[in-house]
Amino acid sequence: MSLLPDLKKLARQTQKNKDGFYYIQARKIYILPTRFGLMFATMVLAMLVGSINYANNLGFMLTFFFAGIGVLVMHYTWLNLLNLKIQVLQTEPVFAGQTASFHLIIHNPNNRPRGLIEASVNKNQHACINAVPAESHQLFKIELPVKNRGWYSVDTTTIATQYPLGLFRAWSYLEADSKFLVYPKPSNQWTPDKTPDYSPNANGSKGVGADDFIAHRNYRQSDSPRQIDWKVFAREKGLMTKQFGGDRNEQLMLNMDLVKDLPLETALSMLTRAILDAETDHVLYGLEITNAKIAVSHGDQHMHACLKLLALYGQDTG
Amino acid sequence: MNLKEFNKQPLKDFQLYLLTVLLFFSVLPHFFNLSIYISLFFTAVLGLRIVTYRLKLKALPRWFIFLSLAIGIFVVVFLYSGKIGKDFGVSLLVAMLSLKILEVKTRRDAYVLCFITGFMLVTQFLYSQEILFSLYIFVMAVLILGYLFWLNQAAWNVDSVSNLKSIFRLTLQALPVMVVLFILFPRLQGPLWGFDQGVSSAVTGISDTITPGSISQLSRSSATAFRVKFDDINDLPAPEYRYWRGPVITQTDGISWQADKNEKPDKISYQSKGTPVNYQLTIEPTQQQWLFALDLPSTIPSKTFVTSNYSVKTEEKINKRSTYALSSSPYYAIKDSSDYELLEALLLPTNITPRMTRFVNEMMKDSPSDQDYISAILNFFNKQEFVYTLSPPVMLDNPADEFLFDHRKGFCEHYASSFVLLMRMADIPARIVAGYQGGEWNPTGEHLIVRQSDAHAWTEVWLEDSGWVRIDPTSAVSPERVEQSIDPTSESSTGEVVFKISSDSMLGTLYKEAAWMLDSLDLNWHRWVVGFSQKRQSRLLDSSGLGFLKGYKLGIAAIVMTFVVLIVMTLLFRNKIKDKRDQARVYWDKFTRKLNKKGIKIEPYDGPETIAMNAAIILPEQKPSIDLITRYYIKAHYGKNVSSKLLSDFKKLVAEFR
Repeated sequence: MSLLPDLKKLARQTQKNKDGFYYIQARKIYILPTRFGLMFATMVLAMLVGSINYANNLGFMLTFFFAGIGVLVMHYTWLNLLNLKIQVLQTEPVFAGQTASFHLIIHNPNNRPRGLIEASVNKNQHACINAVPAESHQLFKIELPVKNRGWYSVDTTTIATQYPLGLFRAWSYLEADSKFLVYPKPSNQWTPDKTPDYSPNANGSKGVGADDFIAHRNYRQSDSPRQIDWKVFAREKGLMTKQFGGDRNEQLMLNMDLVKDLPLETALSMLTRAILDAETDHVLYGLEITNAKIAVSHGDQHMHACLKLLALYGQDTG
Repeated sequence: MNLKEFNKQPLKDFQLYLLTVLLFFSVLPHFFNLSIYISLFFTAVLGLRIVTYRLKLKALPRWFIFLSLAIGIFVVVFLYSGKIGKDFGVSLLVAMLSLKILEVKTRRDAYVLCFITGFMLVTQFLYSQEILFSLYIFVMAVLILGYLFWLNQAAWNVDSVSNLKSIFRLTLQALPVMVVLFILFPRLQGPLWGFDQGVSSAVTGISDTITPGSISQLSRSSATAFRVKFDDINDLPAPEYRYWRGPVITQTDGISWQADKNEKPDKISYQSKGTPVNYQLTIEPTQQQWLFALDLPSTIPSKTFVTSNYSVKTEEKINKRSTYALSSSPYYAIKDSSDYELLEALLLPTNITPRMTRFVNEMMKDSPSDQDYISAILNFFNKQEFVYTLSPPVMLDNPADEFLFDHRKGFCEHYASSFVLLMRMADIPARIVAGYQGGEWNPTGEHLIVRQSDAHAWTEVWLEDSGWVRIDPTSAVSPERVEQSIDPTSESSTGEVVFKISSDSMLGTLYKEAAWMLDSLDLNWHRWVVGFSQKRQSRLLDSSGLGFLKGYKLGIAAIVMTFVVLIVMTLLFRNKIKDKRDQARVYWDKFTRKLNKKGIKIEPYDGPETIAMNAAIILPEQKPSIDLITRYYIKAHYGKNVSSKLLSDFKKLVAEFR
């Protein structure tokens, strides 16, 4: 089995075109009979031997009919892959231990519908099967369980089919050209060795927050009805929106010193948890590890940047 | 889910029901071939499967399946003990098949079952190769393929018509491949191993024994006995010369008549007058060795021989429909006979009654010569009130005596047998010849159809100066018999024979022509399909200038031609672009590919105008031509009444775009 990946490298693979699509061409399609195909061949052979023995001409006819079907089916299985256009979508980062969703879009440029097509990675372990209607496209979602943090390089993708009769399997390899980030697995709780520094924020009470009530202001469209002070409204003083703030009062700077007594992976998990918690608690946070420093900030992009730093800690960035 | 797991999916309810139904109809014709116990076993197991499924019972336990298997094998072995042949093999196959369906669960099981059923279908042809039957088997084969096709669909949707269409297309493409392989596949002579080669059971025909009523029984059947195609239509003999010679019958115990031993003789000779006529005789299986040559045969095919009394016999029993090439001389004289033969033709049974002797003596008194005596007897049959009937009264004790003097009602075997006895009593050697007389001319297929209703018995008497002479006493009573065929379907209430008379009514003519056409189709089916042999193959190749293809060369030609036909068929059935709109789309795709090469990013969801806009930003100097092509495309793809001119202009613009 260890030979197989090497063989795959030797095999003809479909390269990504300049426009970002893979085009399956005739010379890149492999085809072999399936177990059913071999059974079918055995049946035809048995029929042939019987027909020869009994010099039974109708037997010959039926045998040759099935034989013709067999060869035609080989052609149609091959044709079911030909000219497909495949687009590999960027995979969203996931946390280690979770399942990544690897997405492909298979386009069918022809006016004949394509029967069941299988898109798979890792020797067919993780796969998705779907039909692709004529002149249309279909999303294929392959669930990939990931264990380790860092870059995950998606293995050579195999596009295969056994349509229409399951007697043959045709397949084509798509050259691997896709990777995604796997963040460290967050630990259950943020329990640092020593309490981090929470430094107060100068303009904390002016921002728009969620924790402490600050003041009323006039209602504007698109304000959440939850934040409307209905009691004020009941007193017939018009629609007033409650303003909150006070949650940016603290800044958190995370670094490896906080978790230095823990093993590396556990430490990274701990920091991951801290980042996630800080993000949900609306605490401004930053990250400083070895030679990289991300200034204190807040928001989705910031969080992903921090998590990426943790994911690639101690690994070659690639 | 990957494809492997897909194949392991359990079958849905209706998938299983459909499989069961297909299986039942594939095996059904075997019910008539195999023992009733096998059929019962098969039906019972199938029923059991349906019941367990309907009641949502769990899968049957292993021990139960093994027990059923044991019972099945026991039944088969018990029924065919010691006779390992096709019946045994097929029965075993049916038993296995029915048990396989007991444990069918997944799509994979369904596949195995379909393949076994496919093989089972071919065994059906061991029993019959009739045209309609073959059609039925092929339909079943296509349905099984269609079933496998269905199993490979993403969802078992109701859109089954398009599924059927696909499998129909596949069938149409496979048929030419089948024909090419059928013609070119090298045929072997003789079997690979020697199981019983029988194809179909015999239709009762003329046999070695004649008892009163045996031929009249035959005459009620309109089944075809054999068909004759003359090489030259002008050779067709007149109706009164259409005697098809079967066994010659000399020995009698006074009630039944037994054919001679008919060993292969050392030599035979007779004088023929006129040139012999050549013809091909296609006989239905009889399980006997008689070949009914036109009286009298002159050349015979290989693996047959002529007996000392000029009947043609095959070396093996005729157990399937076969064609033989023969020639005969309708005008002949047999002047040779051994003394033993003549002596045998004079032997009388013990039950000659006094009134028979009195009658013969009386007749002989008035006849100076043998010739006169024969005429007198024929006259007696003619003048007295003899009735030619299909249902004569039962005459068991002394048929000849009772027939001649009491009932005077009989069919040809009565006339022939009593005539022979009357001859022998007058010391004239005489014998019965059984066979067929007449035949219906099929103008569509230009051949003669001889039916069981044409079965006949006539006599031969030995005259010193002319040898064995054919005399048909039946013609003395009913001359129509020799000129027209009996109509076995219509019999008058009194039992008198009704003859076929040409019906002039419109419907009658139509019916007749349809029947002739079917008959002709049947004969050609046999000539070109069922009876296609190595001989016919090489003759066909020779006549089409491909005679050099022999042995392995033929095999290579078969493979090469198969692939040629496959390529032609796949090209022929390629999806063609029918709509002009779709054609416009093809040119537009070409255009976007060109843009793509120039580095313009095109998303699959981009419309033509977006693409044109993006392209114009990167290629500002080509904006006019890009805009023009886009306008053309919008017109051709979305507009009404797209002209071919518009389309060709559009194509040109795309081609010129650099």
